[in-house]
Formats: sequence, C-alpha cells, structure tokens
Amino acid sequence: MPKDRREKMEPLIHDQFAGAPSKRALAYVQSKREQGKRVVGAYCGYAPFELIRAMDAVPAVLCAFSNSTIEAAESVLPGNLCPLIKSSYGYIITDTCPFFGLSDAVVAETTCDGKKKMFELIADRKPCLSWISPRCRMKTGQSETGRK
Amino acid sequence: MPDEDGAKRNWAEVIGRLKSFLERTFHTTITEHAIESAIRDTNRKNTMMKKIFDYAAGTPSYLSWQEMYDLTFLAQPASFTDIEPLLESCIEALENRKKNGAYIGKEGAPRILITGCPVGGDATKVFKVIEEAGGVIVAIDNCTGMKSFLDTIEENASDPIQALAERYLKLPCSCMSPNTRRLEQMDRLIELFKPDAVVDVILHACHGYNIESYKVGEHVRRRHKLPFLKIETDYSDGDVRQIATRIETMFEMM
Repeated sequence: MPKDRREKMEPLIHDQFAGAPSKRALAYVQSKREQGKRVVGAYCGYAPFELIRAMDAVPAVLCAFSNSTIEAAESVLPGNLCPLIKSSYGYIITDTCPFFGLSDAVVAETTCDGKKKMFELIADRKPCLSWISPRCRMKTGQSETGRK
Repeated sequence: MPDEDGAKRNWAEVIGRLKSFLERTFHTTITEHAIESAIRDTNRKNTMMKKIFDYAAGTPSYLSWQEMYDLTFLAQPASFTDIEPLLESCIEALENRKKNGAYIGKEGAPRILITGCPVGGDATKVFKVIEEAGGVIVAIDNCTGMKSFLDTIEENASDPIQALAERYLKLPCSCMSPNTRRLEQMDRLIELFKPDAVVDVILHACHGYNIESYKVGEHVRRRHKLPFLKIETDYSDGDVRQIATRIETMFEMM
C-alpha cells in the first residue's frame, strides 16, 4: 500500500499549539488584551470585524463547537435545537469559553430563530450586546424568483 | 434583483447602528479613516489567504484540511499586520512542498469539497472520517473555512460603511433568501478546486442549510455531474461509523 506522503512534510506552523487552533487564537487575543486592547466577541461571519479593528479593539470568535457543553445547555434549551447553539449557550452558562470571558462586548447575530432567542437568555451576562444580521436580500422580503 | 439596493441600504443602516453601539459602549469615535484602514487590512489578508488556498487547488493538493482550519481559525481574529509573517512563512513552506513533491493524501485520492453549516471542533469528525476513508479535503466552503476570506471590500469608497454592507451582504449564508450566491460561489469553487465530490455538512435542526441542501445537491449533480452527499449530524460521536459507511460507499461508487 502506498504510504501517505505527509510524513515527509514539515508542519506549516511551528509553535506550541499543534492540533489546538483554539488555544493559538486564545493566545493571540490574550496577548492583545495584555497590550491594553479591548475585546469584542462574535459568533458569526456577518459581524463586520473591520469596525472592531477600526476602534483598535480585537475581535474574538466565541466557543461553539464542543459536545461537552451541550448537556448543561439542555437543562434550559430544548434538546432538538442545533448543536452549535446548544454548545455556545452551554459554554456561557458553565463559564468555560475563555474568549467570552475576555470580551468587553458581544456582537450577536440573528441569523436564525434559535440564535436570536438564545441570545436573549445571555443578554444580561455582558454589559453590552447588539443585534444584527441580514435575512433577505430584498427590502420587502417578497421573492420574485419563483415567477418568471 | 429588484430591490437589492434596498437591502444594501438597510444593512448599511444596521452596520451604522453597530458602529454607534461600539462608540457608545467604549466611549470612542470610529473615524472613516480608521474603517478604511481596517478594510485595506482585511483585503491584504484575504489576498494572502486565497494564495494559500490555491495550494489546495493544485493536483495533488499541498495543503491539508487541518492546516486550512488552523489558519482560518487564527486569521479571523488576527489583523493582517499581525499575521503577515506567519502567512509569508506558510507560503514559503507550501512552495517547498511543491518543489519537493510532498503532497497530501495518496496519489489519485478523491478530492472533496465541503459545504454547509459551520464545522469546527467536535464536528470535524466528518473531516477525519473522509480522511481516514482515503479522501482529501481540498476546499471548505463554510463559515469556519474559506467563506470569510473569499471576497474583497471596496477600497476608497465614498462611504466605507456602505462598502462594508455590500461585502457582508454577499456572504452566501443559508439565512439569506434567496441565496442565489451560494450556487454561484459553488460554481467558482468547483472550477478552481476541481473536487470529485461535494459533501454538505448539516447540523441537526439547522433548517436553513438543511432545506437549501436540496437545491445545492440538484445543482452539483446536474450542472457539475458530481456526486453529492448530505450528512446530517451533531457533535456526538455516535454516528461516526455510520458516516464512515456512507463516505466509503460514495468513494467506492466513484
């Protein structure tokens, strides 16, 4: 059987965070925090990070991808919700997302009903929270693509 | 689109409100000049990220999904100024791989394009299964992958907030209706990354991506004549064997 050629390969990134991208990102955000920069957390690609950088703050992507926080979340949220929302909420109520801990504000998106309503439950945890996200490309929301 | 301009105006207004919120919260003023600098920073970063993704577009691929994931994870929070030296060194390392004939996976391994919901942490079990079955992931068209790095923002626009609005409104998220740009982006990615199959990862109860999966599947099968597999999953490891069987079956049929 031919061998995987990867064993010949040098790793792309030489640091102590091999296999732990979230720890690498955390070290980055922490280093900025230590320089006195403020941190604004976000979950979603619709958050315009340029605005955050324009005020010399650092954007941080908040935790949303672990099965381990889902059980805690299900003490409040319905079981048949998406794992991403349950995990995010679980991280917050168990106080285990270090990025959330470092954040001075959170930019919350309203890309779906689950997220929108989950954010209502955490709105009192950080002093500041905003609501954003487009849902429709058309102002009226009435699609004409079906009638040609 | 009949009222695309209206959507842009609305979204610019929302971004303007976010600006006021940040200014109020942090007792600061965000100048147009500072936004313009941040826009340039993003564009420089995205240009280099795309240059790195290009190494996965080659046949064979020189960039693994783990490396792509590592870089997109850090490049989201990091400014271009901070991440530029790392990205430079990655390009040098990738160029060396190319020269030395070191590539990802086995010769002729099936090339996979991933689309759908954000896939990170425990959900990367799907990537691991694909890899263990002998596949090579060449493109990750998800929010946790390439999506945030593919577009550029207009520079020197008369209103940088409007420029931001136009860029973010282009994101092909399934929360958009209609989300025509998803299929357009799929066409571009298929052309560039030359996948042998498309795998749509849907997180349980994500109705938007789940329903849209039908359209994406039809498009991929009919227009591109490529196999398409929808995998609905969560963060538990209970379905790993079942996902592996489906992936292996697809590979056998290719």
